[in-house]
Amino acid sequence: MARSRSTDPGRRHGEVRAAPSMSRPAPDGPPRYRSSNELSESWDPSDDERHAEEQRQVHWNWHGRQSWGRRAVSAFPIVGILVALALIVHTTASAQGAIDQVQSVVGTGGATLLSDAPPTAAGAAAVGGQLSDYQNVTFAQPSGASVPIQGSASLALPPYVGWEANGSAGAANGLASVSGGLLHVSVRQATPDFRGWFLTTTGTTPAACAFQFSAASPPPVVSASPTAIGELVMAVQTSDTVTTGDINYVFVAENVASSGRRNLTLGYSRGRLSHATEHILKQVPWTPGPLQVAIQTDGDAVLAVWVDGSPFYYAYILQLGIHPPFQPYLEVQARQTPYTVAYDGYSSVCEPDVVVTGLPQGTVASLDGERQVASGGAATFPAPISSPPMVGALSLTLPGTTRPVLFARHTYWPGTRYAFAPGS
Amino acid sequence: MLRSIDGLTTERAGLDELRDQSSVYDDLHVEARRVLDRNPEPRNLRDVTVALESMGYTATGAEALGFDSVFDLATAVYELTYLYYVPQVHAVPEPMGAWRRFTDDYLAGSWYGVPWIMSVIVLFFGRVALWSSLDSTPQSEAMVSMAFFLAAVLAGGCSQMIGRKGTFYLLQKNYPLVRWTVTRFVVYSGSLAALVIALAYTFYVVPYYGLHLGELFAEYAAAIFIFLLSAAPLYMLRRFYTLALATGLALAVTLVTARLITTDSPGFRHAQLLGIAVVAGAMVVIVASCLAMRSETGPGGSDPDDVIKPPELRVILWYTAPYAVYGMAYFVMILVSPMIVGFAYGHSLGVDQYVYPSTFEGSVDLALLDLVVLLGLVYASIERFGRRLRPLLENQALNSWRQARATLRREWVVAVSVLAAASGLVAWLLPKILLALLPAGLTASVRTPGGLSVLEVASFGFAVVPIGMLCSQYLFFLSKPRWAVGGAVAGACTTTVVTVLLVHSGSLTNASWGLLAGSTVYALITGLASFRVLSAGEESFYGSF
Repeated sequence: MARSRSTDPGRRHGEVRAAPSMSRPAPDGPPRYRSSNELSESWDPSDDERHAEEQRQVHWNWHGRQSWGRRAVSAFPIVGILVALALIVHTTASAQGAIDQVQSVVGTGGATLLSDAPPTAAGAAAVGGQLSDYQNVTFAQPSGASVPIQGSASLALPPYVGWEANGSAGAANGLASVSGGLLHVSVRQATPDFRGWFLTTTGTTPAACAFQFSAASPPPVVSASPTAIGELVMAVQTSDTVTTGDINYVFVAENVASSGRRNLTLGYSRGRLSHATEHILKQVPWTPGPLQVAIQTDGDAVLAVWVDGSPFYYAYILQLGIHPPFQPYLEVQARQTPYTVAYDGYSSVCEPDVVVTGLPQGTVASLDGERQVASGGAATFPAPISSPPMVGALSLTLPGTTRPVLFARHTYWPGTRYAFAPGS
Repeated sequence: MLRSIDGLTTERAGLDELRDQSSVYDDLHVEARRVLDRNPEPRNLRDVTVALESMGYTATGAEALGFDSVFDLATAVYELTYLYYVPQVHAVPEPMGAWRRFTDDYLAGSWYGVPWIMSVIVLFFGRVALWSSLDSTPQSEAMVSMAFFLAAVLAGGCSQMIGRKGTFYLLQKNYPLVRWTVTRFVVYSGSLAALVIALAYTFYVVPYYGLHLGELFAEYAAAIFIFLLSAAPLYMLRRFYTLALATGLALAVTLVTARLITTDSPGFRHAQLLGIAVVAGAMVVIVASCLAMRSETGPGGSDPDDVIKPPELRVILWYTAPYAVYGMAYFVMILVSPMIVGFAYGHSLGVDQYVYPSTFEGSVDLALLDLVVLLGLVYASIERFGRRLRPLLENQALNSWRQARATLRREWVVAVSVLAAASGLVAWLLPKILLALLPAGLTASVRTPGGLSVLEVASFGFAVVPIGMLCSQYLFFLSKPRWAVGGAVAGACTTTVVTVLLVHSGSLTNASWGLLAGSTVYALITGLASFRVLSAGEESFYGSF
């Protein structure tokens, strides 16, 4: 671009001339039509320079008129964003009630209790199939036959996605199946030495959470061998096993001898691959009955165990060497006898209390013999992460009503959040 | 029309007098400087005449200065140009051996892959790398996997558009239009991505997976899309080192953020917070992109006097749409197999949902590292082609086009043969090397018979992809995108159909053959088309302007 004094080849120096225009009067007469040749010849490059000097900034010059197509293109970003936001907000708002519904009470105009925990899948073919975060796991849906997992020695247990079965008994002798609301884990045929089978999670749970197992009473051992033993084992193992080969874990086991003698054993194990050394921390005689165990550990020095809601063991000077995060193992072990144990629930509990929100001020909530008055829109049933689940029928007595809204019997694990949606 | 120089001496006396005036003499000096502005090295009188005509001089203008014609005026101006002529300093490129240049190009093209290698290492030691986490629950992994697929396909389309049109203006040093193009593509693709993610969220993910997992899907799809798209300007500017550095830094930011906020969180919360960490990492790349754009195309690089008339946006979008289709089809081709396997896996588990197929995905991801090794070779090959094409065609006489075509065909055969040989070697060796180098724990599932089978087949599948990429680059270089787009779409369709047929027959392991089939179709179509185009390379090249 020239920066020098402009020179107009079509006129003498010092004259000033406007840009050519068809309507501009000629110097010697009225307005007249100017041919294209004239226009070309009269084009003055200095006009461009003068224009450039006036426009010091980059100037966007749209050409043409605003057509509908151009308007549509221009509007697309804003319209796209707005439509996207509308879809997301609408979907979120409408799904809030539809997806997490736990139960609706007949005769209350649709009063509903909504779970705020990650939901079970809502797909028509997958209700109850997908489990999220290993919280509030109940075995309500019967399982199909175990199927191999691609590239893994473990077996999947349809439709319990996120769980896998494996063990030293081998796929031919080990079995995990769900029926009648129970997870059955079996060693099907007697073996001379201890063999086991387990169901574990493919995902992990951090050390801050408690591992809560709930099992039916282990059955008696039916075997002629005096040394036959069956064990129900609830274990918490490092998830590094697959990467490091470490099989460090803590366990709580109910051992049942062929004589009928039972022990509850707490211990930990350290080792690599198949050479783990077991250390028993506590062992007490035990009686038959359902077993509810909560295990919490940092994987190193601290281990706390609760059985049926009562403290069973606590230590803070251990050297467990179990690197978090962890995986729970719902396991059976057996020697010289076939043996089957049954679990009715599991939950990775990471927060205390059971909280019901969405309640009018003054609502009275009752559950499992406890009674709470709603304050700030919520009724909180205190429950440490180690406490067993509350099982019972939740009743809500709303202010100004005499007939309580009564929900069906349900298992309420600590850490679960529910929202109450009143009916119409 | 110009008149003959011979007639110069027979002009009117009035014009002679006019020429002698001092003001006209001054004007001639000014015009001499302006001519040199336009053409710093006029070689002869005709060059000066052309420059004057381009400045608007006609016979009338010349006569106003006392000359009979523009040619006469040019003669007078030409005599004055030596006063203002400044010898041009031609930057002589540093002489560089062919191998050194190749090595430089290869490394430049390979830098892009460095962060992905780093992410594998960081994933093993830190358990978290970008959007991957060893502590994720299967449900979270499923959501992240689906979100990544969608985000990669969307960002791939936009990146190709930016790469094509942004580079077009960048090579012209038309920096305002580079900024104009990149800004609009980013805004429009961002809006489109938001719309598509919202549609997937509304009509598929939430109804089938629940609200909470749906929210996780939306979070990750947005975060990954932002991450990938923010790298596109750096790729366009060929700031490979910046890209590698920014991605590496983003990796560190993601890791640190994840360690700070997610360590003790249960799986679902962990995944939610990791999504935020990914956004934090994306911010690093966004900042790097903005800084690079500012330094490369900032206002200082353009003439502030320029009046910019931007092109019609609709037209730009329409003409870059094939490149968007190419980018999307490319990512569908290489990523769709694990998606199909995931759905088949879910079906086998009794749920009609996508379930993260960890072994298949692990093997395919490992095989994907083929591209890290081979992309540098693709880059070096296309750079070499670009350097050789113009001199070849400029120095080729018009009547020796047969030799030019033969040279171009030879160039194609050499480049594709070398790449094919290297691809085969990499596909054969890399799985063994990776399994030997990587800790057994990280590759435990891959080492199973099924995992090894997937790894070996997918390794060859990914190794064929760079051949298609190189041939597509030839086609793009010569502005013949149709067959590149067709090849990528055909490859994507082939991968999809073959994978579906294979998993339908019950074998998830064999699904990796779908990728090999798709990438082979892609390479064949683009290879044949590029050979054909290069066989008439001079026509294609000049026709592309």
